[in-house]
Amino acid sequence: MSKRITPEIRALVGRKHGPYRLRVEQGAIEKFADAIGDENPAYRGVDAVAPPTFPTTFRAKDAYPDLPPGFGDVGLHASQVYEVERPIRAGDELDVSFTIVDITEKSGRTGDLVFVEREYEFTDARDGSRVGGGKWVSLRRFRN
Amino acid sequence: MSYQKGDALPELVKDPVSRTQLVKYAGASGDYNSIHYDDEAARAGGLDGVIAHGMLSMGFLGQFVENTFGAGSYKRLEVRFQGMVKLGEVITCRGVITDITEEQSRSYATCEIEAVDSSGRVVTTGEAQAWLD
Repeated sequence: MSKRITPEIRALVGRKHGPYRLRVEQGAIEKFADAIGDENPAYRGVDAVAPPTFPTTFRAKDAYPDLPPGFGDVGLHASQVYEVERPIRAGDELDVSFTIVDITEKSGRTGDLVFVEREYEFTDARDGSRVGGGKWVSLRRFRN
Repeated sequence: MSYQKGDALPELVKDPVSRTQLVKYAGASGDYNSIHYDDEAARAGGLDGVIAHGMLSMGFLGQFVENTFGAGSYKRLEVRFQGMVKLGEVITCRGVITDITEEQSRSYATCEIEAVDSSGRVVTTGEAQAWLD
């Protein structure tokens, strides 16, 4: 039984966003490593390698399919996966896309929870080879 | 360096999580959810106050894995966010090698990993795979 998931929200399942092209910037990698407090020199310089969770910075500039703003009392993060075929480096040009693969709900101790599961793909813009991908599960919580 | 199943990875103890760090992480990651820097917004969402981005704790675990196996060594990182991290919390990352797998003349380690707070509560847990060569 769907208490929170309306047909409009259900219709988000299967929606793909992208691909959109981005260039991996040395400065963005450095700022990201700085924010984590990771001083590894490999994450600095013109040949910087991206830290494992750097793909979280791959954000679309335009609106992407998502639950409406204000849906639930708070948005939280449930789980995350990243995998790569090779390290991502400064100077890489990537085509990034994601697809909403599932939306589910359950009633928790503190209220109803609606989970959105998205799958990512990152490919090399030069030759179309797969660079990596991931899975992002976020949740919106409705307090009792 | 040779690794074996059952080996514990060297722990990583992070500095206390500060509001400045969360603001830096918001800017660097592009996650501007206000529950990560604005106490009022966090309370309006039913939280006690500002909490760290879950992805920051995953970032700590990424640092932990590549500290051990080298920058660019990670193959896969999977985590579940189990607990919230409040300001001032000191996070420790720890893990153990659960398997070593050969794949196309290379080998990678699979590790159980977790980030725990100063009371020993697990805030983020998961599995990492990293190339050994």
